[in-house]
Amino acid sequence: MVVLTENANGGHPTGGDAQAYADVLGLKGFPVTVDVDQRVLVSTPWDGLARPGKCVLSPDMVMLDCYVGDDDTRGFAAIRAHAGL
Amino acid sequence: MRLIKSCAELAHVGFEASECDFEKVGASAGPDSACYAERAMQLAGGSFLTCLAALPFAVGACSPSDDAGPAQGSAGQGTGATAGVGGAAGAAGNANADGDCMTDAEESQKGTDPNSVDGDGDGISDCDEIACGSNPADGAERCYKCGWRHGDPGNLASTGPAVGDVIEDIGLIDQCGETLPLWQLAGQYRMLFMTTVW
Repeated sequence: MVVLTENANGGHPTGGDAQAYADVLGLKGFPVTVDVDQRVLVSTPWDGLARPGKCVLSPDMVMLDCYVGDDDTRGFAAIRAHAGL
Repeated sequence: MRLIKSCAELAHVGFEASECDFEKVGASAGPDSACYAERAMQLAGGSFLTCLAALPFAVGACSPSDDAGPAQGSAGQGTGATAGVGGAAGAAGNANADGDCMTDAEESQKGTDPNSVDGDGDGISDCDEIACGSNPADGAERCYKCGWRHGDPGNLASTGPAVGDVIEDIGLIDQCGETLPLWQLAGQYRMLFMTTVW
């Protein structure tokens, strides 16, 4: 799921930014959201300086791993480990 | 579990696979739970995580029977507005005063009014609410426009901002313009893809 923390001007995003982002990229079937209060910056290890930040959550909302970058091997491994696979 | 082999089948469960090649991945999934096979992950590599994050159902470990066995559960359960509840609802002698998808006994279990198709009076029928994961006995809880299920188990407590902690219940706004508390997305593995609008 996508969590947008800033609008195009570097300010806090609004609800309309989520729809616009989803529409432009053709994202369907999963949540594309905005974090209007930028809570992920204080609720996760991600500091917002490098993008994208990623946090893998277990079904009970435990952060299994958080990292930066496009390579999802690490997150993939975290899920495998948690699922016992 | 049902074995989803194609994007057409994904569409059947309400998911449009825009970037996932499930014919290659071979993900097994059911309306409320899913599994994926070891070989599927090996085939898909890292890209599967993108698909995984997009799945509208839970993902868990597979057992050998998940892939080999026939579909379990009622046909079509959970994918339609009139899906049955709790399996066979049509046992002989079960009264259904309002003629909806639940017998009176099932309505009693759910806390809904057996004489009304919309027991909580929120304008959405009990059966539609069940199908979308909303509580049909809570007038303040409605189906999300985007179709998310209400997954907050009600017993979560944030423990901190570090890996290993239960994350805060962040109040997000989704692409349908509705508030979506993060914990409503519990019950499934999720990957937060945190970035900015460019």
